[in-house]
Amino acid sequence: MPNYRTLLFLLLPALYPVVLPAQNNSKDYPLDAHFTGSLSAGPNFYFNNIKTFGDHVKPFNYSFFGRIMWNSRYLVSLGIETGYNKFYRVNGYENDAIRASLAAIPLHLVIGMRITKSVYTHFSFGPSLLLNAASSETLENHVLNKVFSLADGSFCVGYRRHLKKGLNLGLELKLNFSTKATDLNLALPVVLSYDF
Amino acid sequence: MNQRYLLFPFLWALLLAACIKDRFDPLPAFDTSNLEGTVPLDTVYRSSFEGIYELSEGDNSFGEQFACKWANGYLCLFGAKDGRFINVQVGFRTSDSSIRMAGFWRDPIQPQQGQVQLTIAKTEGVDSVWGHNGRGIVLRGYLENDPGKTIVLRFKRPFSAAVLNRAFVIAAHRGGGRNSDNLPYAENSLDLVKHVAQFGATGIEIDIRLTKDKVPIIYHDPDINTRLTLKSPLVGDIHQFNADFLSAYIRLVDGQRIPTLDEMLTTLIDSTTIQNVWLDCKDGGESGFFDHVVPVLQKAMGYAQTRNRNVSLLLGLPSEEAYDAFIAFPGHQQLPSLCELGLEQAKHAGSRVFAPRWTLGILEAETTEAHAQNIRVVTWTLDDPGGMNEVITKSRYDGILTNYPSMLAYAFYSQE
Repeated sequence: MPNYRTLLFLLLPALYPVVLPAQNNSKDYPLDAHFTGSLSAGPNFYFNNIKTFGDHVKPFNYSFFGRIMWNSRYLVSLGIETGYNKFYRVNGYENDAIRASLAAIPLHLVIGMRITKSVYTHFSFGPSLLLNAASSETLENHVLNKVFSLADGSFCVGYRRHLKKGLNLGLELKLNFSTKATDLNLALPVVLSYDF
Repeated sequence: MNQRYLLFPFLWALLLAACIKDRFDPLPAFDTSNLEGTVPLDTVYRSSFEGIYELSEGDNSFGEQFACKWANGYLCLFGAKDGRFINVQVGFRTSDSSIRMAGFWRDPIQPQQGQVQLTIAKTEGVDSVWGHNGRGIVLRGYLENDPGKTIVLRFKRPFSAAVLNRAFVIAAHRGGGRNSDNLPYAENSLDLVKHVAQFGATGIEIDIRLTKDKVPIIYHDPDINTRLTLKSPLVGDIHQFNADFLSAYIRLVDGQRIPTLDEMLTTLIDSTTIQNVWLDCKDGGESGFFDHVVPVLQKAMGYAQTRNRNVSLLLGLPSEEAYDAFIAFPGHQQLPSLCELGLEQAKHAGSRVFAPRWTLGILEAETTEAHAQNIRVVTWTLDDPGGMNEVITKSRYDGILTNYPSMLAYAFYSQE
């Protein structure tokens, strides 16, 4: 249970957008409605809650995402996201000679909220295809299980800086969760985006 | 403070309240000081204790009345309230001619349990025990609660003729109950079925699935999940894994391994007094399912005979697919089976038990017809005390499947 509560504390900031006003009087807004396409990639950290063979978990992995957002004239934006998010790898040895990994391919709807001109939050939700590979050095069983997890999602806080001609570079702190696998990781992808 | 900011802690509190159960409290080790200086009670005197007791003093959190039965060497008292029960070991202390008891109590739903110590003083019923008669027995003692309470139970009456003359199966779902309740051990596990008689059960239902290498295992869901197993690196369809792989890398929520059907039946025969076993063929519709399950069943039936164990092992047919596969299996009429689909299908399959869902109501005409064909009727899965009482008193069903066998035990044994 302590792990679960720790994760809830980590989720706490993600609730902040819920209490944000939908509009404000900033001179920066309203902007013209436009689309933004982005690609992001970076390392992630898996919050290890695996109880059997949890000692063999490699928590540092990688993830990358692609996202298309429609930004309204106000603060809200909507979009879709996909990508590849590796949750964990397990490399056991001796009597625990298990090899396993779990990755998710999300297909999520995204709701975004601009907080300032450069800072934004996203909440994404929807199904993911989970890819669970497992094998053992001592037992004959090589498995690639493909499982749909219907209620996955992410919370993210991002910062972006305009480069030139609609091109932006930024960084996101992105908390991904999968309900089917009961897994959670925190990614730190670099984001390259283009407004069009 | 702006009111909308109140949402912030409120939402977090909602998340916190959504905690899932992640621990199991096994049956407790209990204080045996009350048994010091005692000798085990001869088994011939056990029946003296059985019957209905009433609460005359003390905490009524178990209700005002108890039904008392022996199981697994424990004297089991099933309370009228919420299925709470007491299990005590019993000894005779020669120094003061008293009968001493020590054990534990447990709630089948809420995560509560505690210690119990009871005594029958020489002048309060010991002679009745030697006379094979419960009249006059008074159980006095201590029941650890919040706070600890003294308790006095008085023998009220023996079981009624309605109880003694009816072969009624108190069947425990998933080997004893669901993980979401206050089970001491994981559902469908070996440790659970070893103790389920102490919770009141005289029968069990367990679930069979096939592994990738076609070994029948005891497991309810089609996938590996944290409801049934400790979080592991494996996710997804359990049919993708060989039995030895699951044995090596998957643990049930309380740390036990997933048992094979063979291990489960051997344990049932060797380590329990359970007489009715409903083998729910969850994967019964899979090609070749019965080719792999029937040999294990037949081996167990042969083993039970060599051990002189009277146990009925029934292949449960829960779906049309399982039923069709069973009907297509050569010699199925000679195999003991239980059919959930309907009485006609049960007759056609040669089933010994017809098992209608309780929501169908009391099927009086079907029961008459089934009994005429020597087919027993067991309804499932009934967890409501009112519903249990209705089925017991208004139907001629031969058993009920429940997640709370202690609740059903009280409902059945306390009949007037």
